[in-house]
Amino acid sequence: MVRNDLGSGSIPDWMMKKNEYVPTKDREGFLTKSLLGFLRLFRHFSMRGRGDISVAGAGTELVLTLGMIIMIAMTDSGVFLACAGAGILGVLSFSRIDIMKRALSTSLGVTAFTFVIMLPAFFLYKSLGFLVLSFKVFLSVTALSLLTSVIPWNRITAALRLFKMPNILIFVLDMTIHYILLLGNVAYDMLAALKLRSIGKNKDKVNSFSGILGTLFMKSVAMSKETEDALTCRLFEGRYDAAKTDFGIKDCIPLFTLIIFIILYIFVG
Amino acid sequence: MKNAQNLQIELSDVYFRYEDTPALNGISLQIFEGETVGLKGDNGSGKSTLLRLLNGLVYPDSGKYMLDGKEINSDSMRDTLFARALHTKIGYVFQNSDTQLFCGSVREEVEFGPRQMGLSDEEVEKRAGDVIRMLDLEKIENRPPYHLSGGEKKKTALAAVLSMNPDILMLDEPMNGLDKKTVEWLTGFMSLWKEAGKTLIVATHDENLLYGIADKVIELHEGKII
Amino acid sequence: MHIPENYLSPATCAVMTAAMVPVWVRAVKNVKTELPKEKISMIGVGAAFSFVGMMFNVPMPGGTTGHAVGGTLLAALLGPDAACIAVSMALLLQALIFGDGGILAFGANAFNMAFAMPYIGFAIYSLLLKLFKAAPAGKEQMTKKLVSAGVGSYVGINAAAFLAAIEFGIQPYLFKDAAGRPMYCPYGLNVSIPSMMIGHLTIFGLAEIIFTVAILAYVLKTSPNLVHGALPTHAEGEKKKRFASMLPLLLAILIAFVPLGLLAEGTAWGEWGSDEIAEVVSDGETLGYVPSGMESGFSLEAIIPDYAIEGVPDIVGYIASAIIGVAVLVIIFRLIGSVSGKKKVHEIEHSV
Repeated sequence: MVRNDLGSGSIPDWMMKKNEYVPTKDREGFLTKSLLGFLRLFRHFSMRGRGDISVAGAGTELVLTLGMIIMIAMTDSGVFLACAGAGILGVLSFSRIDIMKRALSTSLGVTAFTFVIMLPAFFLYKSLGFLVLSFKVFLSVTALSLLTSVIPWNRITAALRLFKMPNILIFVLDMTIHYILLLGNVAYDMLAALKLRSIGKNKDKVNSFSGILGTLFMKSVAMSKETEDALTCRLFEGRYDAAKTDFGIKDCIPLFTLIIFIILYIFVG
Repeated sequence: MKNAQNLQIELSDVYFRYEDTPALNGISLQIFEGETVGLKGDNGSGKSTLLRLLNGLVYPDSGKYMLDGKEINSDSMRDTLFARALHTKIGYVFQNSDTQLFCGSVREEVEFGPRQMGLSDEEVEKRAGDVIRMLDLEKIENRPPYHLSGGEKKKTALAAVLSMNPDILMLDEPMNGLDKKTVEWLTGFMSLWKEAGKTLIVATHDENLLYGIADKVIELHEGKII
Repeated sequence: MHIPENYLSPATCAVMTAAMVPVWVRAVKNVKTELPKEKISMIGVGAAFSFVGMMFNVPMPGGTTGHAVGGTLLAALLGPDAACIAVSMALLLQALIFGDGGILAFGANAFNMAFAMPYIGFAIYSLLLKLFKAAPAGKEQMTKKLVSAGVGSYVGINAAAFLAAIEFGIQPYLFKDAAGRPMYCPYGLNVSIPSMMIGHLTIFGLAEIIFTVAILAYVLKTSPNLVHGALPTHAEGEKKKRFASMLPLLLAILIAFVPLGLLAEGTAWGEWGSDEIAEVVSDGETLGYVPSGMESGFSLEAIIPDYAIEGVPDIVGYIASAIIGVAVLVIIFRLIGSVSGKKKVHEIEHSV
């Protein structure tokens, strides 16, 4: 296995000795935290890779979720909040365990943050309104998180057409998600490589940071040039007409749910 | 090979440089309709640049590129209809499938080209359906491209190009990063394409790929044919 | 900086989104005319870069870290219009993927970070470039560019933070529930402005400067021709155009805020206009107001009754509460069950 064409031929003395390096402590928070962030991103997308779990149409589920979020924001009725909570938590309790975990990890994080931020308002107003606000935040974020965990991304973006979002923007959005994963993987690999090499003090953290993001930018430019070519080759001239989205019987379930909640809102909200 | 007499592509003394670095240094070649041509050379020998030039993405700094008797340069390509005809005629599968895929799902990807050609909805769906069946992509047709394996991505990119029914197919390092199964499949596909009498240009650094299939092999070195 | 769900009233969110629509339309139009069709791919990739960039933790002195938005950097690299679209896309996806920023508050977040930040940051950047008489090339020129971009990014993020603080701060004056308590962000301007600005004038402002200068330096060093507006003459013409088109927009938005008070229920607007403001301004000790009927402190009844309006059968509320209780129990048990039988959690780790 050992080949003899090693440059000048001989291995330097220091490489023959046992490595006696003792690492010194350093704070590599920026690396670890960034790496964890990317893992979260990949997990989010890989979960979705296992196919379409949703029973209902993406478009109407999006409408239902947004409708609920708006009504939750506007209501000052405890009954309505309780019903919305029953609905959302009910769906959550029947969800697949990984979806449940993901939805809760997002919404509980945001809720905890809100709770801390809003706690001083208690002393300001001597009211527990901040709890209601935290609960509202919890419900909205859980609902949205459930939606994005259950429905594949490409169907969510396609559903945005229902809101009159131009095809071209949806097209760019799809492309963006594609590139977030590509660039995210590149960034993750570079961060991981840097972390493996940063066994001691890295005095110039900012330098390695700018190297990674700078390289990432260059890579993005190169990629965008290639995609531009690919678009030209497939006759793209700034217009994009996508296939029409079908409306099926399964789209009715979310709509029906929404109508019930709207009626409830009108009566108690 | 029934049309082997028709001259399809002709380059005469073509030079091209990227900013300061020369990429093509006086390339002359002829490719006839129905031929299978191998482009051989190390990385950086100018293979990809040559393919880009043949696809009308860059133009010769000097020299001439004729396709079916018409010159391809920045003037002629300014005519949108002419440019569209060229891009429909040539199907180009990039080395890096990642940058060639940009739609929300495999199906949309395959439908993209025909839709841009302005075909009717039925025609678009028929073509996409046929190509998806031909390349065995039914199971993944609703998946977004980023959830595909390397082989599936390559097949999708090929499908997206084939649905436009090109006369000439250009593959840039098609076997890079593919698993064994996809390599075998793609080799078989290349033979079928050849049997159909359509032109095939394959750029590769791997000679083995060209054995038995290439009618001629052009070897590039530092932007020159050797 | 990312405004979460429910901190702003839906009315505020609607106004902010409406304000963003012309900005987006204009940005898309400018990108299309200024830069030919190839920019579609550039915006897609630019948005992805913006998203990924926001995920990075910026290393700060003393081993701490912070996040940056990078609005000014993107404006310097791609031009402010492309930056506006790219950051908007990134914000939308952040709201959907990470729950960072509310989906209703998307318009407000976009207004602060995708409109105010890149345009103001870029205006300062190009203004300083002009003052420094920066030429397109040269090592000294690079320092000038970096300083300009650094200052631009600092002003940009603080402008965005200030806008966010105003959006938060007007909530308690405008939107109250039946009992007169704020329904959304409960802190008035006297709290929201200092608490937002202290953080952004110091740590987040610094993170933004580091982010902007470090990356711009790298790109300028390796391939300077990629930087948009590298030529000051080009930037100058643009800047004038932008200021001119930004002013009426800002005015329109301010005007739009006024009738918002009319949307608010009860006498909120009047209260705010007379005694309340006086209280806030004249007496530094008193924060906000104490709604009538609430002086005697709080009791549990004070919260619940207002949320259960008469005429609605209580049974609905009871049933809903029961469902919540059962659902929470099911969730907890399933979570516990999944932890004890820990199996295939790691298979999904890095399979993308």
